[in-house]
Amino acid sequence: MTQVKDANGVEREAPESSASSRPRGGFRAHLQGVGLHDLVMLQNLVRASGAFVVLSGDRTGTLCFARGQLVHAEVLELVGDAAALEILAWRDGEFINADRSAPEKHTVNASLESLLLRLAKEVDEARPLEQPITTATGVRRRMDGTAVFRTTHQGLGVPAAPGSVSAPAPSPRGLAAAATPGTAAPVPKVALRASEPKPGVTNVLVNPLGTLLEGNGSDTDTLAAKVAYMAKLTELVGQAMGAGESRAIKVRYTGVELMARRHTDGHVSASQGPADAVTEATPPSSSARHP
Amino acid sequence: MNLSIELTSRALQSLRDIDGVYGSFLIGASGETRARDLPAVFDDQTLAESGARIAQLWEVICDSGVPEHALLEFAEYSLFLRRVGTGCLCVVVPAHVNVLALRLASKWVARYFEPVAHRNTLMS
Repeated sequence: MTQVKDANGVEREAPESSASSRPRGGFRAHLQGVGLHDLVMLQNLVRASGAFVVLSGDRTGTLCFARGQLVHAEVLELVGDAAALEILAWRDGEFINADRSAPEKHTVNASLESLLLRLAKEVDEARPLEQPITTATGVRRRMDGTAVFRTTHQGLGVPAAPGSVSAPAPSPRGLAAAATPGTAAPVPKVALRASEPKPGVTNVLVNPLGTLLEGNGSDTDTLAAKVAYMAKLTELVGQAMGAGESRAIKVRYTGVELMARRHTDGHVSASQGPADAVTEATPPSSSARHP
Repeated sequence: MNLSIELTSRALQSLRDIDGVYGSFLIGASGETRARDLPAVFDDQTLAESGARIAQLWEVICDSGVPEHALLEFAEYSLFLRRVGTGCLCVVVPAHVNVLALRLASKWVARYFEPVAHRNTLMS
């Protein structure tokens, strides 16, 4: 107990308060029904630094922030981006301030935004109806209860519960796959060609430097130049928005359609013509890559 | 041009009625952001950079006439574009979005914004 003086100058013992036991100023939050993504974005927003332990069932992970940026993630044998993706995919649990300084090591390369966007897409495709029910708690709860901690995370200063049994770990192979969504399956290389001639349709094949390699129909040069420039700008839009590599451009004019597809080797094939005639801008060899 | 935040966000939010739509934003002819309804992952700097590129791209696309819409497909998601006044409505969508439904919804949003855009152009 701390000694304080009252209004009459008599010394009394000050009662213990939760505020006096806090390591730092500010509020301690006990939240329920908040998504983990919202919690990590909050750390980003307030430019927080420090380590957070994330508990979900019997799984334990760590997320470390430095000035709001996610710099390190760790779960089981996973470290870095793959670990961050694994932890951020957990749908319920606790998000606990471990009250430690962020580690020196920086293992997460992707931005928090791109990680969350990637997960949002996966969740949208895989589990569109689930709702997050993550619970956030204050510092004190981290040592209480029956939570099971794995020995791989003892480095965080979180003790393993005596006699605890770890549940089977998620497959690292599966996580690696989840960390690279949209990766096309290997396809045998086939020489690219412009689409077959059709009445009223202009087809072109442009190399990565914008040179017309092959074409048929009317005014192929103009279409090739336009498509090459559009492909470049689309690529820049994708980079600026963190959308990944560009794959196709589809433009619908009144009665006319322009379809361009960027191949994995950088070539672009395109077709422009009546909407009912332009079904797919790519030759058979590339349609296999982009089902 | 400054649009009413409440009205614009309500109009853009209506696009989220389409399954899978992540959000949307409206850019002017120079790529400046005029309205937005997007997750926080798309910050102002991201929109400023991408808006300028999209405006350039939109100009190239419009070189052979104003299109009904355009769809840019990326590895992570797609971007649906549609003319609104002198600018462009951009909708962030997943690859499997219902384009027909999106066309109809964006048509309503474009119709909503065009009188506002026209009025603000006159006033500026």
